[in-house]
Amino acid sequence: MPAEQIEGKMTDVKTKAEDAAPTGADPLLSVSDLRIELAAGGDRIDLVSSAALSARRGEVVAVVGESGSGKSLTLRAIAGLLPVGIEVAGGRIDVDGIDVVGADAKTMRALRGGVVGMIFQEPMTALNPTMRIGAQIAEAARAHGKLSGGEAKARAIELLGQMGFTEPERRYRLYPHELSGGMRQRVVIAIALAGGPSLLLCDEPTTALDATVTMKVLDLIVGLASELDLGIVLVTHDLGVAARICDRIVVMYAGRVVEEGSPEELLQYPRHPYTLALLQAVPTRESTIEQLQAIRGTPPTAGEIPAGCPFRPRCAFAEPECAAPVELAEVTPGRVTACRRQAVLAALEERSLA
Amino acid sequence: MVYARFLVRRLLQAIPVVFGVTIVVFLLIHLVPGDPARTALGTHATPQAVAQLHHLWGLDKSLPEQYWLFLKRLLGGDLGTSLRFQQPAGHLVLERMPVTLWLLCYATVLTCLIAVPAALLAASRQGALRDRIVRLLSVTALGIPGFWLGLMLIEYIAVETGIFPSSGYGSGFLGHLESLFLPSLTIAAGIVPLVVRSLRAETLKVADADFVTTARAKGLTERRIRLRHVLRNALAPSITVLAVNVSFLVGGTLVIEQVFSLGGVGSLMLQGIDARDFPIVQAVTLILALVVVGVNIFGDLVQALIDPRVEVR
Repeated sequence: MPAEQIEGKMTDVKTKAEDAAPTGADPLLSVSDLRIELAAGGDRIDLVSSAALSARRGEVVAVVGESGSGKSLTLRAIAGLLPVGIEVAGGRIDVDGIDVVGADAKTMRALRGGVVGMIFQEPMTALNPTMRIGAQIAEAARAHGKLSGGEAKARAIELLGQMGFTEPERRYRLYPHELSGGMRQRVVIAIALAGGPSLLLCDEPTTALDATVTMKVLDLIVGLASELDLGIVLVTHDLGVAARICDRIVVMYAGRVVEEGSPEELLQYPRHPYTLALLQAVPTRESTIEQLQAIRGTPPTAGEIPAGCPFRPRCAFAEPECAAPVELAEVTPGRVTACRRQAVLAALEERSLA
Repeated sequence: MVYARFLVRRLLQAIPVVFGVTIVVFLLIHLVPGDPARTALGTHATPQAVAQLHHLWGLDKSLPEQYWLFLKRLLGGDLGTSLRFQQPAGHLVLERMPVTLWLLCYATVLTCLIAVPAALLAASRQGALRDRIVRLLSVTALGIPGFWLGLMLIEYIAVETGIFPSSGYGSGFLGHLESLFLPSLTIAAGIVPLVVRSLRAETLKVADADFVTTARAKGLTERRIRLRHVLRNALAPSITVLAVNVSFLVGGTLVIEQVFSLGGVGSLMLQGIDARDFPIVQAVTLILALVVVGVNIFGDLVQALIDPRVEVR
């Protein structure tokens, strides 16, 4: 049903562009104009200045960008899990009809695990070393829905089975240090799913895993998501991962969204110089080492982000006008970019096609 | 089974430690000037009488010979005969042991009851007023000598209010519980600051751990996160601190027993040293060394029970 999908994307783009109430299908997740600040000793430093994101049930959305682009913070803000001293300073986050920014502690507890499941980057440290893995899953199941101890245990064993553990009853009693990294990550996934969430947030879930396990874990996540009709937001810096499993890619730079589109279009025909630069930095089988281009300069530090387009100092296409503020704008249905020079990129595309 | 093997291994390892301690104490006590025979017979005793007594007690033999005799008797379960009381030394010590063991256990329990909540309170908000108060009190308590605190507690609590007795062991479980409260509190005051400091630091460290974020992401209550996830992981290193300090306190109890006039092993030890009653000093040392070893093995066991990564081998 591609027509339906495209239509869905259009509504998403409209939501972002107009910042209005969602029209048509209610998105599961909608983040708009999100600002996240570091509130340290009176000084307030913008870490994320305008993040916008949406996801529907059954949809996999990738958020890509360099370290420090604010992608992980945006993800954590959705679950209300920002580190101490870092706060949401503006904008809206709505998950399944719940206003996350204004929610009280009790609502947030119900949201975490119950509506939003989270998978972390480091499976080696994400599990409590002194608790049996089964108990850690059962605890998450019990926090939502009224389960007896026995029912929670049965649910944990069932989840371990779904995660591909053989003999789940026996594995229930293992401690994290008795498992490999990939196995631990499966436990983390089981924990994230135990409360029956509708949205799954994945913070670089395969970065710490070795290559042979990466695809298995990703396939597991995506398989479960479509089976359970979950929405997924996947933060990654691996464009290959994003291209392979996502329905939509959001590119973030210096705390803001700079481009968004379907993987086919965005990765083939980037409409933001930053996306283009990211792609040129990805090694492929066809390219020689000389053809790889590192992006010149370094990403700006929080608090020293240039006015106007933040990518300007590193951009090969920059012109003086880029110092003026730039907004996300729709280029084609389902594509938005925050580059005023996107027409130049489009022209390049056409030349390469010709 | 694993635990039984662990216990046997640790006890075997302890044997050289305990013997080492007895050798050191044996040599030390003989270095101290003074003569048990002279003490027993008075200053006007004839040299012949003193020499006779020396022979009777085996003190005319060389030190290595004396130690060898001590060891031989020990293997037969005999800790020697007290020179002063003319009774088996081992029996005398064991008779006094309950008071000392009671003090140690009571002080350990009080330490946990005070230190754990205090550390959790302090760590619940780093740098807040409650944290600063707990830390200030800890440093203050660390600077107070045990015997002085004991005397103050006797003066201002036992004598003034009469809630707790100023001396004695009491009778029955409840009696002990009441009579030994002040001495145990005095002993606990010495270790509480050390445990609070360690536990507070560990709690703050663990509170930042990734798995605590995982726990929070599950939607657990803050209380459950603190108790089930943070405390449990912060506890293991603090138990080592507690075990080391409780063994250290075995020495400290000797003084506190004296302050509160408790007829424990400590007062026996002091009497033994006073009279150069070598067998008594030896017996007390040996048994206290065993207690110290036992406390440490127990600490390791508890740590292994809390943290599955600590291997029990």
